[in-house]
Parts: sequence; structure tokens; C-alpha cells
Amino acid sequence: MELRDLVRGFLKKIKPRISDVDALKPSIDAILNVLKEDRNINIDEKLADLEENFNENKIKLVYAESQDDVMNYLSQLMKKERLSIMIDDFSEFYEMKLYKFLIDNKIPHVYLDPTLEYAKRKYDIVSPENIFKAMIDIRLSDFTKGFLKKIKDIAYKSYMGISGAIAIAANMGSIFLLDMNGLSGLAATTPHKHIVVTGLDKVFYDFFSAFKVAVNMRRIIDKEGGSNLYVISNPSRTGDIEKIVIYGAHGPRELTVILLDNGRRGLFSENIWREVSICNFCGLCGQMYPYLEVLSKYLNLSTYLFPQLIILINGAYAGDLETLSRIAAFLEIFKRDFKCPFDAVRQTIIYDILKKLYALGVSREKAEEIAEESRILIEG
Amino acid sequence: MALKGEFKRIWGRYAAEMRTAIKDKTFRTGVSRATKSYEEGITPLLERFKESSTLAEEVRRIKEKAIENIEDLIKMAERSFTEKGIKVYLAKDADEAKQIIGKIVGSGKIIVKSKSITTEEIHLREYLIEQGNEVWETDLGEFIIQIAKERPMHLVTPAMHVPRERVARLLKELFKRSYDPNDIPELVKAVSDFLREKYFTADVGIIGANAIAAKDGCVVLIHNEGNIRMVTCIPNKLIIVAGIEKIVPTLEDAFKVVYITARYAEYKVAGYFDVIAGPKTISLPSGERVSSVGPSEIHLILLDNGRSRMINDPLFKEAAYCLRCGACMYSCPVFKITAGKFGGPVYMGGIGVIWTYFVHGPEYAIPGAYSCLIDGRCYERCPMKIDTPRMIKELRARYASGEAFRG
Amino acid sequence: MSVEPADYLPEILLLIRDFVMKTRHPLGMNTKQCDWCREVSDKVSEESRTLIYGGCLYNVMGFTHKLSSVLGIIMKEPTKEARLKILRRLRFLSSISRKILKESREYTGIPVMALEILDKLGYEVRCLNEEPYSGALLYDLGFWNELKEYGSWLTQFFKERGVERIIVLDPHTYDLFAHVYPEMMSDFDFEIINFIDIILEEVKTGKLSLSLNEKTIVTYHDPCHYSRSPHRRIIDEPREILNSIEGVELREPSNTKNLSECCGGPLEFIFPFLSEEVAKMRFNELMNTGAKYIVTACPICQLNFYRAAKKHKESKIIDIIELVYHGMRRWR
Repeated sequence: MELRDLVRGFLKKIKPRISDVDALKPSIDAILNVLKEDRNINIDEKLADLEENFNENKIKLVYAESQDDVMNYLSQLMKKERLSIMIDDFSEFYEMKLYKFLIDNKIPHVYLDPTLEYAKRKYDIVSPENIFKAMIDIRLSDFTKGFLKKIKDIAYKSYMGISGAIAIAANMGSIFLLDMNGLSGLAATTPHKHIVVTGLDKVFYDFFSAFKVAVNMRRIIDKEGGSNLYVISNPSRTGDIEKIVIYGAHGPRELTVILLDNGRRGLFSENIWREVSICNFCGLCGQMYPYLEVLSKYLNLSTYLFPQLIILINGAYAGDLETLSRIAAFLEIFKRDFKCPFDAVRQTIIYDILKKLYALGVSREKAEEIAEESRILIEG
Repeated sequence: MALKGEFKRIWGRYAAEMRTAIKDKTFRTGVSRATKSYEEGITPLLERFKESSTLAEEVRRIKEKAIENIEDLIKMAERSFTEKGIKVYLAKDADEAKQIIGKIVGSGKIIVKSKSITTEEIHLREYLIEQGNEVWETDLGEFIIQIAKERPMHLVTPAMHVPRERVARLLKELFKRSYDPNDIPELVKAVSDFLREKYFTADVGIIGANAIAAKDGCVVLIHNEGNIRMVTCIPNKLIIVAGIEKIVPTLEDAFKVVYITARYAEYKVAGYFDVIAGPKTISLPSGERVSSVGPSEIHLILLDNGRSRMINDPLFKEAAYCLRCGACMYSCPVFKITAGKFGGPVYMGGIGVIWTYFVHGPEYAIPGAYSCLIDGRCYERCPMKIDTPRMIKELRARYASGEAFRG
Repeated sequence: MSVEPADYLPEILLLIRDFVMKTRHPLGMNTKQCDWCREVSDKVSEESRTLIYGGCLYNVMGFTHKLSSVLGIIMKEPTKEARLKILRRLRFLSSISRKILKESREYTGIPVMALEILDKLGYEVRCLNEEPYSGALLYDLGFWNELKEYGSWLTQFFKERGVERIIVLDPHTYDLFAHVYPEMMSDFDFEIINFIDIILEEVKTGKLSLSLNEKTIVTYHDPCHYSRSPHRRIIDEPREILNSIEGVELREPSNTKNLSECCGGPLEFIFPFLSEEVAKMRFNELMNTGAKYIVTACPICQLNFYRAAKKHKESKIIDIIELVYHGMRRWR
């Protein structure tokens, strides 16, 4: 079956879910307040404090100017030892197309999300498009059952775990993670080495600011409230024998944080970022218009959220007119429906982003052509 | 007139343990090292983070309000946790708690457990072993205490009085091979490797709680070793044992509580914060919900065991604000010599005497009540500003008048 | 089956309670022995309504100091009650008269010096030829019903003698008289003044100017009842006095002011072996300052440090009142 038919079939099944906007408002406001305050703090100040605290906490900090730096670092790391790696996926992972890097370099790895693992088995490259195909594959349920039986053993044996982070607090050197279903948290728990890869935009100055963001995001993303929240500030350590500190008591004995720049630093001072970064990923727009997630995956985009799109446009996909055209196409469709339910991000921002894309050299005709094709898909 | 029967035995045992501890050079060295380290480190730490005392005051207010509204919070917690599939039990005393847990666990199981003074309070480990289960403490200090067959001498560093030579000997007995006592990393690795095996084969994980968020239906824990993460993420049954005084309204409140607990235990920040929110299940595309890795069953046992009486006694209510940070113990002139021998059979120090009176019984708190110098150093260092010297004097008054054993 | 305090409180505690209630003296001796006032009867102003009161504490400590080894055998452990029962039956201590054993002058001299200082400063005060105990131990040990009874008796005792103001010399008596008794009894309405406050006042006005013959390094040990009193913390006042003494260099121990360590005194009769260890630790800390004198403001601290200092030939423990007294020698 062609992808288009799959998408059409999928879209027919899913229905918009309108969450209780009022119930979410306190959480949204809490995050908004933190974001407004925190972005007044200069990034270099944050980073200086972060470095000091990570140093004190024995967390290794790697500053990656570009995604190439990340992949070079990982190559070096993975060459040294016969490793088994567990990966919890995160937005920066897709930004850097790490899924391609791992396959190209023949690095043995297991995804902690059965959907991704299934996609890897079937298609090798775990691109957004392939993930979507895996999502709607009827054999996924059985695969997941089998996966769950084996994952405990994999967790026992694995040497390294890679994950993202929801937030990082500079003044304590703390990393905030969410574990929705018991699997994603394993990357940070059982291996001997834990590597966190996350963007500069995740660094907050104050512990309680980062906490507020993490706890409220959790409330928004997981309305049932069953997901665990973890904060990690040092590798596993103990002082129980004569108060002598030893690392690696139970969980990871080494903890590394790779901070990804990839154009973010330059972006922070731009007006468009100041506007768009207010979006806190509540995902309500995605719920109201389920086609957004499907559409973005169909167009092989890893995200439909504006802050992430801006980061990609400014960094990873800079100069990649092909991908930028698909982003423009996506926005041409979305502009018809977009309205932030909380009026946090103004409606017309989508036009500014499109303007920026066309100014960067994206062909308007090309974008509208792709948009037209996709529109047919959605409207049937 | 003379000390009668059981009282005489309690006094005699207490005085004998004190004497032995005082004369034991290795014990004294260990205790001295730990308390000195705290004394030297805490003032600069609180200076460095000047907001600590203001936040501590805020936490005190949170605790005051929570204890004031404890009945409502218990009901709220019951609702929130049950909605998420976490089973909640109210245990009025130690026996009821053990029975409930015994039923959940059964027999012939492998259990991994994290450090929790509440589980010590009800002697849970001993009970589960009696029921035919294999139980392992996973906190390194508690593990050492377990294999040494002793009782913990401090809340945060329970084995602070055990020197490396003894640890090496204990491990030799257990693992049947020799260890170099000066190779501390090797000693730690021996236990760490052993426990890793146990985490992955265990049927049940048992933990305590540092704070419980009633509205959000979450349990919050702090640790530095990482053992709680292992206990709560791998076995597929999880049992949480917590006193009712741990309940606060929101997750934000709970975080402030644990943040201050770690700070006053002389940590800049706790190594790990774990928020446990629900059983781990995964939705299959087919619509089925299956167990994921980690607990598919979570049981929360809320323990009373005398806490209501403490809370409803206006003179002793503030003892329930105790965060178990251990600051008072490190600061106490008596504790610096006797460690946990000062206090009750489980709870340590002056605050431990008060707790013993209510959870274990007035008879067990008597010698402890008269071991206190009423000097007040504990009060100076307590983040909750609990006036333990005042309460010790009140306990003495109850003993002197006979009220302690009436009604 | 009903349970009584006598079933679960060790004999030592009950003995102290009974001694205080029956003889107005914590060791069960005759209060006629609390007569330091007789030494300075010439300096006393009989009509004065201001009483300088030592609460017999200095005499008690003076005896305890001398009887240390004997008391050590009798009060070894709470469960060893037989020896104490003998003590009770024989009223052993009450039979000790000065003929057999004189109290240590190091203690009994202090209230004498206090009165002489006030006399020199022009105060008109009186003292009691026979001082009853303040009752402080009843408060600390929780015998509060007895304390109320004792306090009422003491109130009458003072009122019968026309007392209106009481100058107290030690932290236990101060805490009890300034805060505890007034809360318990509405007629305990005497004006309570701490001797240290008087000295500080005179130092500030310049009327009292102190100096020592030679440069002396001292360290000050804060009594717990001053530095961490739940009612009034007296921390800076003694230091201001010490810093005003010419020739004095004041050094602080590592744990000081509101974080000072305890001398171990409150445990000396129930767990003497523990009390000793506490005293040792604090004594060492104080000696580590390199000071020649450890200045105390409480006779109980003084006694406990003296015991800890036994082997230490270099140490000298001196009460702040005595130091002020010596500092006045050059004053005309």
C-alpha cells in the first residue's frame, strides 16, 4: 500500500480531542512565567554557572557547536569499547538525524520505544516517515509484546544509555527527565554510562524554574499523571564507607551532558525567537488538528512545533532548501487553522516564519505545489 | 521503690549499650569523622546558598498547614492515587501494615528494598524474612548494617560507625573471598555487582517516601546512590511504606520539602529526585494495555502507628514536621559520642525519643528522655526549627507525674 | 496494673526530687550550709529590698567538686540503685559537716566576690545567711507539680523577708526566676536582674574600668542556658565585658555563641560516664584556642571542665565574676 493511502486511512480514524483548556491554563501560565523570566538571563552566564556546577557534581559537559561535533564525540566514545546502547528518542535526536549516524557507523543500539525499534528492524533508517509507517503497522502490537519480554535483559547488559532532557538547571547542575511508560527512563537508570544530549534552549538558570517547567509540562503532556519525573544531579555515588565518596554504586557511574548549539545561540537574540519560544509544547494545536502530526511525519519532518521548527530552520536545515520547502509547505497548510488556544503565540507568527523561509531562498511555487498535494491527502 | 521488671531491663540495656559505644574506639572514630565532616561543611554550604533558610521557613509553613489538614489530605491522596491505579491502604499500626504487605508479597519471593526508617519502625525486613522471603537492603550503608546484623546509627549514613576493615570482613563472610580493606572502590563494586543481579531477579521492590503529593498523586524520593531508581524501575511489584505525616498538598510542595531535606543533610542538591506517579503500562496499537518494564502494581501503605496521637497532641504536634534530614543528630553533643544509641530502639536522637514515645510506646522512650542535655543545638540546626528540648522536658513532666502511662 | 513513677524512674532522680522538696537542698544537706553570705555580712545592707541570690548552687558545686570520686561510685549508673538507697536511708550527705569536708573555695568564693563588686560600685544589697535552693533541677527533670509547690513556698520565703528585687548569678537560676516561675505563679513578681547586666551597664557608663596585670589570652564558654535560652539569649553581653578588660585577648572556640557545645553538666548524675565524655570534648575544643583561661558563667560548667581538666596542668577555669573581681583590683 502506498504511503498516501496509509495516511488517508489513518486520518479517517483519528478524531480531534479537545482537552479542557481551562484545566491546563494554570500549568501553561506557570511555564510562561518561567520562560519570560528566564530568557532575560544571558546564556553565557547560565553556561558559566552550569559548567561550575557540573564540574562539582562530576558530570562531564561537552559543548557541541554543531551536530557534527556531537557525532564526532560519539564516534570517539563508541570506538573505544564494545558497547550496547539503549536510546530514548528526543527532538534533538531527530534534528541531528542520529538514527542515520548510528546505522551508517554500524553501532549496535536498541531503541527504548518499541515503535522505533520496529521501524529500525523493518526500514533500517528510523526517519519520521518510517516511524509513521511503523506506527500504523498491524504487526506492531505483537512486536511490542515480544520486545517487552526481552528489554529487561537488554537493560541488564547494556553499557550505555542515551537520552534527552526536558530541562537543565544551571545553578545546581541538575537534569530533568520524564519517563512516560517505564521504558524511556531505563537509559538513565541501568547502564554504566549515561549520555544526555540536549539543546542550549533547555538550559534554565534556576533549579525551581527548571522544575516548574518540567512539572507543568508533565501535567500537560500526561493528563492521566502516570509518568515519572526524574532529576539527576550526579553520577551514582555513595559515601557510606567511612564517608569516602565512590562513584558508580548502582546506576550510571559516568554521566555526560552534550549541549547542542546548532545555531541556537545566534537565535536567542532574534525577535522571532523571543516570540516563538513562549510556546511550551502543550500540543493542544496538535490535538485539535490531528492531521498536523501525521502531515509532519508524511513530509518527513520530525516536529510540528514552532520553537523546534525555528531551531531547525536556523541550524540543522540551514541551506537545505529541499527540507525547508517541505517546512514551508507544512506551514502553508497550517496557516489556515493555526491559533494558539492560549494566545501565547500570535496567530500571524506563521506568516513571519513563511516570510523568513522565502527570504532564505525557498521557492514559493515549490512549497505551494507540495502543499497542494498534501492538502488533497487531508481533505480526501 | 525501685525500677521494676521491664523498665529495669530497658534502662539496663540502654546504659550498657551507651557504655559499650563510648569505650569502642572504632565506633567513636567513625562517628567522630562523620559528625566533624558535617560541622565543618554545613555552615559554608548554607552561606553559599543564602536562600536556604528562607525556603526552610516556607517548608515549615507547608508542613504546619499539611499536618493541620492531615485528614483531608489523606482523603485527597486516596482519591488521586486510586484514580491512577495505585492501591492505597491505611494501616493503623505496625501489625496491620505488616499483614497487608505480607499478603501482597506472599512467600518465597526475592525482595529489594531501599533505606527507610519507617520500615525499620515496623521491623518489616525481619517479618518478610520470617514469611520465607529473601530481602536485600540496597542502600550500601543499610546493606552493611543488614549483614552485620546491627541497627542503623544515623538516618543518612547508617553505617558511619563501621570502619573499612569490618566491611571487608563482612563481605568476605558473605561472598567467600578476600578483599583489601583499603580498596574502597573494590568493596563498593562487590556489593554493587551483587545487588545488580538482585535488582533484575527481584519480584518486589519496597521503598519509603520522603514526601507525598496528595493532589498530584505522586510519591517523591531523594537519594544519592541510585538504588531507589533500580528498586522502582525494574521489579514488577512496588510497595511504598510511608507515614501519614509525609503528605503535603502538591508536587511543588513536595519538591520544596525534599530539596530542603537534602540541603540540611549537607548536600548542595540530592543526586537523584524520583517522582513516582503510576504503574508502568504501555498502550498497544491494538488498543490493549500491557505491563511495561517496572511495576505494573504499585501499593501505597499509609502508616499511622501513633502519628495521629502525636499530631493531635498540641505539645508534640511539631515533631511531625521532622524531615529526617539528620541535621540535629550531627549537631548533638551526645550523638557525637553515642550516635544512634541515644534515642529509642529505632528512632535516633532527641527527636527520636519523641517519636519513640508515640510509635513504640512511652516505656521505650524513658532512658532516651533522660539522656538529653537539653542544650538546644539541635534546634539551632533544624530546618523546621522543631523545639526538641522543650518536648523532651514535656515528656519528662509526663513521666514525673505518671501521665505517660495513664489512659 | 497501674504503673507509678517509682517503677520506671531511677532512684537518683527520685532522690533529687525528694531532697529538694524535703530539705530545700539538692544533695539533701542542711541549708544552713548555704551560708556564703556570712563572709560578707559587713558589706550587707540589712534594710535593702534587693537580694543577691546564689541559690546555694555554688555551695552545692563546691561540695560536689570535693566529693567527685565518692559521688562517682554512688551514682555510677541509673540501674545501680542500691547505693543510692543507702544514701537515702542514712541521709548520708546531710551528715557531712564542715568539720569533715569543706566546700571548694573556687565556687563558694564567687557569690562573695559578686557582693563585694556590688558593694564597691555603691549598690546596697543584702544576702541570705541560709540560702534555699532555687528549684531549677525540678524544672529540668520534669517534676513540675513539685516545682509549683516549691516555687510557691519560695515566693513566700522571699516575700516574708521583704524582698522586691533579686540579683541572680547563674544561668539556671536566671532562666527559672526570670521566665519559668513568673509564668507559673502570678505572685512571683520580683524584679529579676542578671549580675552580668549590672556589670555591663557599669562598664558602658565608664564607672567600671577593668584591667589585668599582664596580657592574658582567654576563651569564653557560652552556657547553654544563656546562648540558647528559649526566652532571652545572653551572648554578646559577657563578651562586651571581657573585651573591655584591658590586657584581655578574647579568642573564640570553633563552636561558639549560639552553636557552642555543651559542658555535659545536665547528665552528670544520671549518665556520668557520658557526661564526662561530653565535657572532655568541649574542654579540648576550648583549650585548642591556646587560651590560658577558660571563662565560664555557670558553676556547673565550671565543675565539669575542672573534672575534664584533671590531667591538664596548664588549664585554668575561671568564672566571669571572678575575672571581673580581679580586674577591679587596680580600681580605686
